[in-house]
Amino acid sequence: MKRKLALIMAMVMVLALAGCGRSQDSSGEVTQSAQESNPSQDVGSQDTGQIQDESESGEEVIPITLRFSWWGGDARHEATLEAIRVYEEANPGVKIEAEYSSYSGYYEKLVTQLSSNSAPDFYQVDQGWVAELSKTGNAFADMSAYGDILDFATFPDTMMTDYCTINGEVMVLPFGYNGTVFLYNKTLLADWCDENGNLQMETWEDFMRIGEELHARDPESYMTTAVTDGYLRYILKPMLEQITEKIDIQDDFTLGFDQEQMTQAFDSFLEIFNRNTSQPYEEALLYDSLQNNPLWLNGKVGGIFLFFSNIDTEIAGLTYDYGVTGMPMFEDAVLSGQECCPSLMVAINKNVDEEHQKAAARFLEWFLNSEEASRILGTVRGVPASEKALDALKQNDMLSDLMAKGIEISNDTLSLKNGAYELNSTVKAVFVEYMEKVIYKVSDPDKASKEMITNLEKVLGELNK
Amino acid sequence: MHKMQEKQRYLMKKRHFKDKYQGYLYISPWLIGFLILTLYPFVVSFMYSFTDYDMFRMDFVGLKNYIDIFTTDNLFLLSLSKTILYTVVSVPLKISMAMLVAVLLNKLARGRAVYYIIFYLPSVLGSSVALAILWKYIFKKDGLLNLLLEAVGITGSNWLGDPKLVLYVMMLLPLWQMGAPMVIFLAALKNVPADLVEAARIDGAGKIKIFFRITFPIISPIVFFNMLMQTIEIIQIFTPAYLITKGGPMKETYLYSLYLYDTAFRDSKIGYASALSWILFTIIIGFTLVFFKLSNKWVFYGDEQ
Amino acid sequence: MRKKINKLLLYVIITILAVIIGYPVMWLFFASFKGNAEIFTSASLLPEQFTLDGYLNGWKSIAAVPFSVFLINSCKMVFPTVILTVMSASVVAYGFSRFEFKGKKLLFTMMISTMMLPNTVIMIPRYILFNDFGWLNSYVPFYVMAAMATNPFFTYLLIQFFRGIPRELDEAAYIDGAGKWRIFIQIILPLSKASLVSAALFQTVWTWNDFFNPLLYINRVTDYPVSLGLRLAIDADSVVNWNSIVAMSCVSLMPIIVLFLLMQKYFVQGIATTGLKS
Repeated sequence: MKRKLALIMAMVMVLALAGCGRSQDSSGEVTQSAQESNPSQDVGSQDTGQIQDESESGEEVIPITLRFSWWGGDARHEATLEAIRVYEEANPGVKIEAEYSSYSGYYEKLVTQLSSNSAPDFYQVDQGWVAELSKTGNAFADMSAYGDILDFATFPDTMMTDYCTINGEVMVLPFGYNGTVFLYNKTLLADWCDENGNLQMETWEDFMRIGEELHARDPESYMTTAVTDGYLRYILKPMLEQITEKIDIQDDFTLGFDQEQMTQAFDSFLEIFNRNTSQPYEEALLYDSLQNNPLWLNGKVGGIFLFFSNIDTEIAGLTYDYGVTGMPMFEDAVLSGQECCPSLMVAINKNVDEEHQKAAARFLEWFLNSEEASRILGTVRGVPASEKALDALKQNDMLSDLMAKGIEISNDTLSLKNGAYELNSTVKAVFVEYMEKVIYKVSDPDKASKEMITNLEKVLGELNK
Repeated sequence: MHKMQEKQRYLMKKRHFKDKYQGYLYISPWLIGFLILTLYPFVVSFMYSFTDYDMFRMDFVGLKNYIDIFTTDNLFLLSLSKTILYTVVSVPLKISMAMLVAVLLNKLARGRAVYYIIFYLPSVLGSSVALAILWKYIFKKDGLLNLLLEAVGITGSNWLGDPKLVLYVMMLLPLWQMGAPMVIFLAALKNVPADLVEAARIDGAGKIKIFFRITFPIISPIVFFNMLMQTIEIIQIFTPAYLITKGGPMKETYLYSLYLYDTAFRDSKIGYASALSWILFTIIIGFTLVFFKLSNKWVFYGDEQ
Repeated sequence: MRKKINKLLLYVIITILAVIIGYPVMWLFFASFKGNAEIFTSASLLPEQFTLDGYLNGWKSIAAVPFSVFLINSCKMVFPTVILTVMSASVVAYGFSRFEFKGKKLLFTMMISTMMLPNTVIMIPRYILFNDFGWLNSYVPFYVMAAMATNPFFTYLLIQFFRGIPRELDEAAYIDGAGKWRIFIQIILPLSKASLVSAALFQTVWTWNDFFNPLLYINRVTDYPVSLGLRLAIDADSVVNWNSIVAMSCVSLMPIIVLFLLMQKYFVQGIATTGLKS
């Protein structure tokens, strides 16, 4: 008995030491590279396509370890890891530690890391977090300092000014960008398409009418369905923006709409349920994604609103025929109200030393703008924002037809940029709360609008501190 | 003879003296860990509750958080009342079920292991991501439960989508995962001397009488333990809200722990979240004291004379 | 004759309960042999189109990591933690249940009350502490918290069981010259096998399923335990192979089931009651 105990204790100690030893290794490595780093011959003109790290004049390659964190699914993880592998091979001495995880828990961990100065060297962020995090002054390095390494010209100007640059500093760069389109099931909606398979739908009235007719014909089918977030972002908010022609949350923390306009939006929104155009909300909300929704999987949904980057994902494994078209609009609307913006961004940690920031910038330049990286990554982070990367995809036939069409449609419609605080989680939560109250008829649109505005103003007031 | 007794008494005294401090020695692993790893974070979080710490900036705000919680925060009252309702219903259900199954299993002669595993497996699933799929499969409108109900002619409702029903449906989760208190009850039942029970049976006592007069008092410390622990655990339960219903629909399942989590991590209001935590702490302490007080009436410890 | 009917009734009731409780788990098991779409669209138990894809793909890799890596990590994280927990919780429980010392009641109350503060806000100061100690990115925080009996649940469980052991046994041994430690090892522990095994089982399950602590403390994906690994594959913008996730969830249940089978005899064994006066 005693011997067993001793054996177990020994085993435990060994494992504990093994655990200890490892953490020391990693921190040891980092300090070592920090000590050894000196402003080496900078391969600053590392332009795309040239990934050979020509350590000029036979100089020693300084070993450096970078930590990179992102979230995603299997495909993104695998592609990114492959890209990292390729880069490491071509750049001996650079080691990149991949710290990826799922979306749930990512923000919590990032914020904890940032506040205790243990965040990775560069990391993926959601567009909705940028405003909050940049305000802290503690999170983002100003990438304009690395303008000789990073080629900003490949990104659309408006994208840079609208989403990436704050107070003259380049806080983040876009991985990909997105726009809202309507992906429809050609087979199911055959009767409402023309001979080329294009859906004859321009206005919300068209949309609802088709919905009614479809449902009348087959009570199991609906024109559309969505997840909670989808109803908000792809239907309610566009409706609101089409009415107001302004973004909902202005950058000066005021609202871009008044009670009357919101009520009008709610009224139109409710029609999709009243006229059986959408799957009943209390059924739809059970599913986290359309991949879990049997109605979509069984081809009983006319179409879904989504980001064009997600088209391939949502139809994966399904055998129906699909088409893409733009957002329906009100008769007198000029804007589509679609979200057209980068969703995934990347930032460099302000708190790591210059050597690490530079190395991160070098990697990002290759990752975002090189043809080689584009071919590996494809559209795992959506349609690339970088023109060079997008061209590479097109040339290599890596853009699906539907996605290409989606990009075209989205680019052709007039839309506003997202407000910096549109996607703030707290703000969104208020929208969702009142949207649900209206759907469940707990509150009528007028009363809900009034209360929602009060709540939003309170939340924005706190954000404005 | 005298000398022997004296010597013995002296030795006893010496050992009693050692006993006094030996106690500290035995609890020292916990005590040290407590001071560094628990007390320090506790004190820090208590301090946070008087600030508006948002992970980056911290300003002292005195009692503002607490005042706001009790005056202007409707989510506080909403989530707290739902959580208390949830706890008050789930805990007795869960413990009764655990006890029932344990008692039944205890009587089985054959095939115990198989049954034990079946009843314990749900709680092994814990907070697994597979739970979300499973729960929806059973309770969605065209899910398993409604199919079964249809077979007997009842039309089932939208269990998870109907705001009026969803909280009660979620109470089934702890009930289903009652493996842990069940195992503890089983261990406790093993300590009931079989010959005692046998003697009472021979004396003609019925099964119910035996249970309440003999079995229950002997396992009462464990019953108390389970009641207390389950209450503390369920009042802080996170999985049903976070993993399965996301607090909806319409915040009907917005349990306190989810509200706390959202405040701390989604809104980054650590100061406010700390205040919320300490309020919950006080509530739990409150009913724990009540539990302990009441326990004197029905809990019987074997090591008391 | 009545005895036989009663026995039959017992089995019938317990079997019905087992079916109700066990059916969902069984569905999950069979779901692992279905294709992604079928999991969500069909209500039947058995797969219409049986496939091993879930297992094959899931084992090969979840989130670009072979599942075996996650399994081994979970073992590395869990087993030392469990052993340390049982060892230290039993020692501390013995201290609280069999000794008298100043401040015992107060310390006991403080210990129990640590369970009453929601973990959420404690995590951040603890994270900072572990960061300062350099223990991040390893399993050391888990080992240390186990060795220090940080979770009072186990300690309290054992205290309750120890208190059920009559003091006369202690005293008999004491008079025979046994010191407190020997009493612990030779009397208390052997009589507490069922509760010790319960504690071990619970800590195994809870640590195995713990998601939030590893999320904060571990950065390297190749060090993730199963609980984190399975979540990695879930992302709203990507194709999620649910059948792989379900399949691997089933696989990760295996070690615990095996453990349970090995340990269950301790629940079956009664304690010798000869010589016990109540």
